[in-house]
Amino acid sequence: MNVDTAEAEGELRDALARLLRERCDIEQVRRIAAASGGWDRQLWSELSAMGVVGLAVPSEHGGEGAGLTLLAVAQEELGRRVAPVPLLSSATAQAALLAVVDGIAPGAAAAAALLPEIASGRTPATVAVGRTVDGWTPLATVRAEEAVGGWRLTGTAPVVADAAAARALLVAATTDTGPALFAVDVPATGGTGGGAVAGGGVVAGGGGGADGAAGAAVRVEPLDVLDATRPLARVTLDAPATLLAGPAEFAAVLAATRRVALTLLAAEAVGVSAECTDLAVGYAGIRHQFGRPIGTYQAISHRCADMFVGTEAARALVAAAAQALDEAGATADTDELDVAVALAAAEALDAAVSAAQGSLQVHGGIGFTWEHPVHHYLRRAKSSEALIAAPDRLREQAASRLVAAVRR
Amino acid sequence: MTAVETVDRPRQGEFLGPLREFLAAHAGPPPRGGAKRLAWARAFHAELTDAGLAAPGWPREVGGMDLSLPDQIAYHREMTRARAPRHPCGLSFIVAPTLIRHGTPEQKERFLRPLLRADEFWCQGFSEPGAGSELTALSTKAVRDGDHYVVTGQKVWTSQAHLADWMFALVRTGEPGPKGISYLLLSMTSPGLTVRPLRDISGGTHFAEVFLDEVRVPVENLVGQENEGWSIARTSLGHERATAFLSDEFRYRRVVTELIALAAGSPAGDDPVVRQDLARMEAGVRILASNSRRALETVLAGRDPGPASSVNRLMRAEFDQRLHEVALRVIGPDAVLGNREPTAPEGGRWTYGYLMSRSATIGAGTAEIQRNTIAERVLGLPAPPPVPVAGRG
Repeated sequence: MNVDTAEAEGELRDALARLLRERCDIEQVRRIAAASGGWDRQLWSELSAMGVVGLAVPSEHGGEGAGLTLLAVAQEELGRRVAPVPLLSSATAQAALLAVVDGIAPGAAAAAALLPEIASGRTPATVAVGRTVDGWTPLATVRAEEAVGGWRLTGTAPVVADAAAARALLVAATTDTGPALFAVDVPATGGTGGGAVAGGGVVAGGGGGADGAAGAAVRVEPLDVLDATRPLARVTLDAPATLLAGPAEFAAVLAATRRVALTLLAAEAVGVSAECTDLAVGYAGIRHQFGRPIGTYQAISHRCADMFVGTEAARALVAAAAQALDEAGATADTDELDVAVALAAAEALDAAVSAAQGSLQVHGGIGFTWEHPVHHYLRRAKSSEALIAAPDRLREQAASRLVAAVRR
Repeated sequence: MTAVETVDRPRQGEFLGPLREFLAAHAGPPPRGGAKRLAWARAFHAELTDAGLAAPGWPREVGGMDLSLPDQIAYHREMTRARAPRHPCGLSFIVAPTLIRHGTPEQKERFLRPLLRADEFWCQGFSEPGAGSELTALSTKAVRDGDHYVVTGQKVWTSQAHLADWMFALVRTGEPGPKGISYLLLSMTSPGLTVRPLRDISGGTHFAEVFLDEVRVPVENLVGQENEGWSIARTSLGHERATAFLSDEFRYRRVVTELIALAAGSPAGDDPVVRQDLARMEAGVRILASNSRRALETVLAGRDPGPASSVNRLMRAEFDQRLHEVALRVIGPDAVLGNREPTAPEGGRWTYGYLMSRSATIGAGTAEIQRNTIAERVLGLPAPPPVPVAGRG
């Protein structure tokens, strides 16, 4: 890392930490998470104004052009506060659009038009994909049909992150000729937004479009989830869509998108792990039993040391993965990128779970209460393991590439 | 930094041509047999030093190359690629930074060049029977007698003592505890000094006991001030580790690559449980690489890597052990064979390495002591209350 990068990273970290301390304390997070599908619009506006949302989008597409290295730092800080904002989802959507633009896919122009909207934070976005323990697939339950006037998507995506916040959906759907990626507009609904309507879900859309196309309906139903600080929803679609990537480009676009999503999820997990370690260390220093702070017992202090070491290890791999993605050109060795990302994500996701579990254990009874913040971190850590791909499957993917490379 | 110094530093990559030339002429497959191999490594490092291609990170005035960080990384990569023999006395590189930082001009002049050329070997006289993890409890006494110290006591777990020409030792010159310790350089041929080799876990002799019976050491062999030995040893340890880690980094990289190749060539490469471990080892080696670079950057920026080096040491020690555990699983049924059995895979390196790796979490500070250091000095957790003296028996 050169001095400039280190400096920019330090500044970003400090500025975000300050903002989040003021604007996103645990009470605020609780209030937002209590409303089904809720998210923090005010914080999102401030992050947008700071340029955080578009950090990794090149300036010619309306972003800051600072790369994933810095975005990962931002995501780590948000993880520290389990901030309920759709940055991971929006950045994932950005990555998909950039891959479409770079891949000269049919939707390159549409993607280029949408990117500045998302980078500015005006249009929060997310991806709707099929989910397996190994990662993403196209949605078998969402069909895309081409008719006069364009494409139309029908079907249901069972679990979509940050759908209530999203004004743009990127959908991995199934066409007659194979999987393809589409963009769907989610019109705002009377200013209330998805999350404000608890329980019943929201139907966005209206009658005929200006060009006389059939009506659009996007139904977003919040799900009861393990981690309420990252709202998930079922999305049912019967809506016009723009083709971004056809079956020929789909696999490469999905893989590139997944690499970014995993890297950012891992960065966030590092933040969770760091915060859990800090909470445990803080408590171990003040809680007395048998006449001395419990942190003087090695059963406690060594567990804290291991949590710290695990966090440091994960942060090192995440930084390396983000840097590799930033430096990867069009001819990059995607196998090596996949290995770097998979190993970083596996390490970070595991570190977050063990730090959250360890922190809860160090806190003892108080850590098991609803009032104590540690369960929010445990929920985030455990839910992140299942969000994109399981750590052991990521390791298997890395190992299979490494072993295959020798056998080739 | 003055302009003159800036000009002095060699241009980036300038050393690579001469180094490659040197390696092409001098590196190659090692001869068989321990004694021949040792002589070969000594000759290699003597010539490397004479060619001005040793000690990439040392200042020029003490015979180093004064390379920038990227150049040092390139240097170690080149040496590993050519399979150049490692310096046959690794402990020399623990005393050397101490001498560079705290030694007198005479000490630097006398010791550093023979050390680099591997003409003289060093051993470290720190641990004692009663002072292991609690090193500051050491009791080997040095009493001033005119222009000599008279040293009496015992050192133990002294690696390579039977090969060493010199020992850098911590001895008690003052009050109990860390403030009464001095740093002395002792000739291993001194009258009154006896080495008794200890057989280690592998059956070989890598360490020894050293008995000191009124050994006379000239006062000019004191490093730094009297009674400041503890802080001298500590400050140079962090520094040392940062640079030593860098050369290890490339070695570990090679070993993990070899392990994956070994697995790929056997059914173990298809075993999902083994593959989990291979991925963990690949992650581990990448983590170590990133950490060692960060530590070195800290050192080169003029800051002490300090307690953070405990994190590196702990990760490295546990990685080394895990690596060999995985390797034994990869060789499977052949893990029953010892390293002198000719049919053992890869010359028995993995079973031998497995046994030797058990010392990684013991020598130079146990894993438990590293965790204490991390807890107290990195995380700021309170230290346990001292045990009352009466309770020590």
